[in-house]
Amino acid sequence: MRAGAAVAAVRRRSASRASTLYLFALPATLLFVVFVAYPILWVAEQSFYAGRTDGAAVFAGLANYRSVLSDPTFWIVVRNMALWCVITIPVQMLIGGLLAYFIERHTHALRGFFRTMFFLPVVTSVSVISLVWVQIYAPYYGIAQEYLRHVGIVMMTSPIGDPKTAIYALIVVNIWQWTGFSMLMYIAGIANLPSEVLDAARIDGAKGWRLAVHVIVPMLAPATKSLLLLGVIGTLQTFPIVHLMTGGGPNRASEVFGTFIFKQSFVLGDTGSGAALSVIVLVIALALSLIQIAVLGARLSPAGKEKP
Amino acid sequence: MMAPLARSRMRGVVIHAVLFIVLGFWMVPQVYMLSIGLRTPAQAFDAALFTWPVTFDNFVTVIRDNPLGGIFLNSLIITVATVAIVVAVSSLFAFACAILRLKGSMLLYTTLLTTLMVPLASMVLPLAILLKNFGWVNTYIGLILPYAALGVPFAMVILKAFMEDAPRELFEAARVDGCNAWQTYWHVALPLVRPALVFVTIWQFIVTWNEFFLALIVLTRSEMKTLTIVPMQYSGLYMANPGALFAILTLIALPLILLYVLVQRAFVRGLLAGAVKG
Amino acid sequence: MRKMLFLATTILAAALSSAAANAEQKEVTVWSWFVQSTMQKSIAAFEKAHPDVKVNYTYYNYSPEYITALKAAAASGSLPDVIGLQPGSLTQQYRENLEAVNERAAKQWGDKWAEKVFPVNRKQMLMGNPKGDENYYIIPQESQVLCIWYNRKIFEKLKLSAPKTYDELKAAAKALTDNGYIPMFQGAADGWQNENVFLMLANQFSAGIVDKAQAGETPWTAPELVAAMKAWKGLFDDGIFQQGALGAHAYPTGAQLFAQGKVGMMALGSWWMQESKFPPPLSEFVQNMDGFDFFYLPPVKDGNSASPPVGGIDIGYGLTKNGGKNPEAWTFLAELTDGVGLQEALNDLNDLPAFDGNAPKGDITDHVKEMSARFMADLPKAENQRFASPAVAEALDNALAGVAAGSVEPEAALAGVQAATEKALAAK
Repeated sequence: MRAGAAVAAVRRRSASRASTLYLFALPATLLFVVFVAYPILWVAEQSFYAGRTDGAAVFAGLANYRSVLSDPTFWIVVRNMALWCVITIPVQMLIGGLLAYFIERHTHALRGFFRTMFFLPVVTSVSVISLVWVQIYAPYYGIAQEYLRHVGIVMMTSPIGDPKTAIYALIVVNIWQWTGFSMLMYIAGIANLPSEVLDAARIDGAKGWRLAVHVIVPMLAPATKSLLLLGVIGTLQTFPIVHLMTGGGPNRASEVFGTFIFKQSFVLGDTGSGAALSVIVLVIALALSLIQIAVLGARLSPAGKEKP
Repeated sequence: MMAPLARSRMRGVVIHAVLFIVLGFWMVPQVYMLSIGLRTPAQAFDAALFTWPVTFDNFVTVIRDNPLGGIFLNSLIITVATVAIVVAVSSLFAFACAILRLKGSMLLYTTLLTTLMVPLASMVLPLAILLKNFGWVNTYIGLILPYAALGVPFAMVILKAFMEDAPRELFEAARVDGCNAWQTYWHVALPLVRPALVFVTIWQFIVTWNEFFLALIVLTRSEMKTLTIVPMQYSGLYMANPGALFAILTLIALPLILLYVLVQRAFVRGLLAGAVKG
Repeated sequence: MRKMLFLATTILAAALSSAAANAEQKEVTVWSWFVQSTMQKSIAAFEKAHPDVKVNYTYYNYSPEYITALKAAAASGSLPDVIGLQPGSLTQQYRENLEAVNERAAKQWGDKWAEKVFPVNRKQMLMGNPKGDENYYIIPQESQVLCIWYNRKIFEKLKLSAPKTYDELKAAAKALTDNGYIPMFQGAADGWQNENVFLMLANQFSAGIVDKAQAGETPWTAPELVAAMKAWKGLFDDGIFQQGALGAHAYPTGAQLFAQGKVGMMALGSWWMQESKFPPPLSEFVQNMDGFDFFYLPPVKDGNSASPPVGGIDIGYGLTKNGGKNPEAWTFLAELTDGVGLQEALNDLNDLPAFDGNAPKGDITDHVKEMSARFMADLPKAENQRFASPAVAEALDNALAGVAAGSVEPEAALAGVQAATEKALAAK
């Protein structure tokens, strides 16, 4: 409770200059209003108009929304996005967290080396990554099959060429690319742990896994929380990997919101339904962030501050 | 029974071994990429991780054929400015949100968070119109400010989470010492979340350095182009030499790796700072 | 931190002050996805002929870069003077932003200028225009003819000849596979490559049927098209295409493997002759096109004849409304499509012109000359390759991928294309 009192005190003291405190929020607000809020309002307006071939836009009411929601592709996209979220986020957290834990607590001389090597995929350009992975997945002339053959596995098709497996194959690439990011986040979290807490826990007899699970994991809550948020954001923003590797195919099996919106507005030239899709994504995003703030904001945060 | 020391050394060896094995698999695509950059067109898509002999011709070609100096400078100016703005603006906002708990800041936080999830493909058209109206097409500022606006929410999420988790006693101590809000922000909040600041810096640098969607529509004149434009000419339909593409992309990634190697040490310093405080 | 803020302010100030670019007197701005080095040569030739004009070319990769940049520029009214276009859907998307070029062209080349353009190109220039709009919004620069290329050195080694029947094609594919080559490389992850092969097949069953189908005159579910769709599936099942084709891309992977002599056949077009003009090192096959020759897809069913040539405009250019206000913009466009600019492009790439009476000059081997002549002889009778509506092309891409993957039956897949066609025609 002391914390709250301190903050309240800071606030009280400066009450006379409360308005100047809003200067802290002003730059972000300005940037937001001009470069984010305005474009979103523009998109929202467009979503109610349909472009005709003669170039004029006519008011279309909810027609764009109706046509998007009745498009079977939309539901493939929703399914793919759900899969993407549910698989990518926990797997990345788990692998990234384990790597961070072992690297930070059990390596010394090679710490910088490991941190760098596992992080490399994050800084690698997506166009290279997609080209490389298409090549890895290729049967017959790819590199994975060349080595798998030696252990008796024969690849008959490319995982990204089969509608049933394409989305999973893309998820694997995504996890590979971004796990280093989760690792870095947890490294920042571990670096931020007050060492007296760890010492206290160790004196209490917590060791190895017990120390890790009961002391460190709860204390990494801010990192986990951030990763969860960023994971959802990253999922909805997914575009280049899918665009470059499968183009959303075969037969739209691996379509995601990014590629779907891109196709509608840029390839098919249907700005209206592209905009309607964007608004739908916005609504989904709003729901997700409210849920996250309600659930995680309330529960995880204080637990991290509790003294053991 | 093994002696505890021997056992801990044993454990160290096992952990290193496991890390190396995992790393070995992890690096396969990366090694393959570098290897393609060192291949002649004839070997480019050979089904092997390594080919022999290696050639540096691709690197020579892309360095010779592109005015990398000027392009590099464009990228650097835009990236550094964006990172500076994002770090400054987002830490101020996170402070307002997490420590000052200003009225309405949570609402704004949620809004920012939500809009962060809208795919960039939807924002390209309105941003293009906006920048045209401002007369900011083909200017640095026309790219820096939108980048900053799109980067702030992301940085803010991280900084807010870390500030909320910082020990509150320190803020109270600052109050007792007579610090006002600005001083508290500068002397207490920022040093406390240094690992997160480093993280945000690295992140924003990478994102800005690699971004091409907006760069395409804002910088339409060749002399304004950033580094991301260079690989395009090697990745198109007419690409005759994949090695050149991989070579140029390796060159573009180098500054990022260098930056990362340099600043990741800041994490260690953050750790030490914590120990001193205790 | 303080230092960083200072740095940021300094840089911002510098950025703002350097922003004001000084405008040239006479300048033409051009955007396209056309090979940068070749375009630079065309521009150099143009600037030599018109010393008072400077051309500023911006290269974009086609997708997503070029189509994004175009759309953004169109939305904000900042299109350059001249833009690269594909006939049909891309041109139609920007018709409102383009000048009709009929009068300018007539003034430049005489009233009968359009007759110099090959018929299939002329048809594509008007494709997708609203009823009654006989204006041209695109001037073609280069043409193409689709075909199956094969590596004649490999074929010779395996004692194969260019297949005349489907059985011969199957036998050739098998012989190639047995000897460790990729039989026919299909980048079936790319919609355009699948469309091209399907066009070859469909026109073999009934010439011009795809054109009728996309115009709504014949249903996509017509028996000929269903048969073509089944034959398409057969190319996968009969081992003609390589395994895992659906996950493969024609560029860069397929083209590279083909150029390096690891692939027996590939469905491409006349533009493959460009490969011999790329910067060295070139493979022994690509050098002077020595390793390559082409054929048209042999009859896949008894009673069919071999696929007719299919093709049309490879790339064309449009004059934007912005460019309409700049007299030099048209001058450049004209020189680029039928003038000094075109000549440079042809010399540099061995491509086919869109205007009759042009041909590559310079050091070209007899083999390339002979193939070029065959293409040029076939071009006037080529079937149309392009689609008027992007939605129809997209639906066909999906249908082809679905059928190839075995997840949709040919009839159902074509019914989907029919639905998309009806929707597109109704919207008009």
